[in-house]
Amino acid sequence: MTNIIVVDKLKTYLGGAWVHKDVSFSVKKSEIVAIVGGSGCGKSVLLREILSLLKPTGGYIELFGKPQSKMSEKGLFDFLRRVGVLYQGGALFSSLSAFENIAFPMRRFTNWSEKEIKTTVLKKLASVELEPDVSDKLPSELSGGMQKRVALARAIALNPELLFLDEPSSGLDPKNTAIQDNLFWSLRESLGLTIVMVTHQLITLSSIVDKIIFLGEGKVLASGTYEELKANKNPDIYTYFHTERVKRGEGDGIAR
Amino acid sequence: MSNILVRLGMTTTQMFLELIRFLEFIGEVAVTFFHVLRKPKYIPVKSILSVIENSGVYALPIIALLSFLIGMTLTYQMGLQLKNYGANIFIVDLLGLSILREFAPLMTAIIVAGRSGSAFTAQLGTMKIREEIDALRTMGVKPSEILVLPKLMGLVLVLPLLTIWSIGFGLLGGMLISKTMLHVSYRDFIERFYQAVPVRYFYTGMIKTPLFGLVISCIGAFRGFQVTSSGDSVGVETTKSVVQSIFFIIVVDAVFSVLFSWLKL
Repeated sequence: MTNIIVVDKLKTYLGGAWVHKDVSFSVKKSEIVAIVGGSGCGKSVLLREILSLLKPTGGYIELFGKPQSKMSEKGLFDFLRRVGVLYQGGALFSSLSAFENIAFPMRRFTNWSEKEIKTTVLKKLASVELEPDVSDKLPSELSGGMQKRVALARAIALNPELLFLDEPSSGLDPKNTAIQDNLFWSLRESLGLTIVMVTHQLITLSSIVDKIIFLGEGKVLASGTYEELKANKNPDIYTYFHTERVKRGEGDGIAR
Repeated sequence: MSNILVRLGMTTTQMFLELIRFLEFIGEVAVTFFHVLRKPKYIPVKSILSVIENSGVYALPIIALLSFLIGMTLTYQMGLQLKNYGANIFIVDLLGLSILREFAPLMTAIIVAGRSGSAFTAQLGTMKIREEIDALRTMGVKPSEILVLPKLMGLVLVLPLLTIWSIGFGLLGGMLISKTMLHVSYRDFIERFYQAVPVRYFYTGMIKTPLFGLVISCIGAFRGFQVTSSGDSVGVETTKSVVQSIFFIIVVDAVFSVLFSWLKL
């Protein structure tokens, strides 16, 4: 299987401190990878660097087989066309309706007709289990969970090959988290989608994630499956996977 | 002692870095501008019109009222002096000079900086906190193209128009007080205005206004992008936006004054 993302010896100096000292990992095609770690360990920063929103201090990033540093403006545009991103707070454009939000990447990257855009938007809304009447509403008129689902519909609007999720379950109730996890799973199964997510949701980690990358001390402390990391004896990793809350959560099958 | 030195050094470096970021921002906006200019179908007409509506049309009442009041106050204060010498009719010369060349352009720019410059900063700052700016970038859109350019073009177009509006109401206020206090009839006022006030007063006042629009929109947008992830910083940057806009409006105005006196205009 080919590598979609390669990160090698990545270094980041931000706000007077080293966030990443030596981060290396790779993501293969159709893999669901989760980046975890304590707060402030640079998970979101790492996502931003892969998305070219932030320039790393040093190191090498390769995307779809091309080095990021050598990407032209056109190359970056082509890369972004193949990528969907779900931001933590949804990041819907507040001045546009839900419909226009989902249609935005279509208008930007394709020259589809209005009719094609309309059918695709409604299809995407259905896939995140939202009613079509949501489409006329402004983001401020939607609840947090609904905003999140509209944002997901926008992220998958153009059937991306690579999906980035920044805490996809924050603001969602357990039922919708489960719906979302199922959706991610089926997207991967049907379209061969590659997913990179930052999450704290252990139920997600244990159910759909193929590989967990544990960040800490500015590097990758460990990477592997949920079981492998759970058995890891590093104190940081151990406490992450073995708190009381987790055990209770596992008991009744709900991650809380 | 060293504490002061350390702080001085840190502030200096920070200001220097900010200057570099500002130049970077101006460069990006300029590149986008010329890019759009080459392909006129990318000119964001709809967004420009919305800026003209929000920053121009809705500012008409407040600018009219304030200009009218300024015209009245100016006439009253200057009239007191002129009356002593019986030189009542010269109020027209003074008003023409001060309102056309300085008061109308400056007042309008300052009101727009307070109304719209602050709004630009708050809007972009909030968008940045809500990661909307990042979302735009990851959808292949340059924020400068759809967020900065319409504001810039809108203000550059609308500020001269607002200034003409302001001149009109400033002179109206002046005329009213001239009549009641100095007994200069409306007819005399207008006749004297034609004789005493050269057209170049109007041009020299107006030529500054697009530049004021540029200053307000660039600083407003730049400060918005400087917002960091806390809600606090929206307030801080909005304050900075208004203060710096007004500061640079006055600097630009002063530079023009010097320039005009060199050119003997």
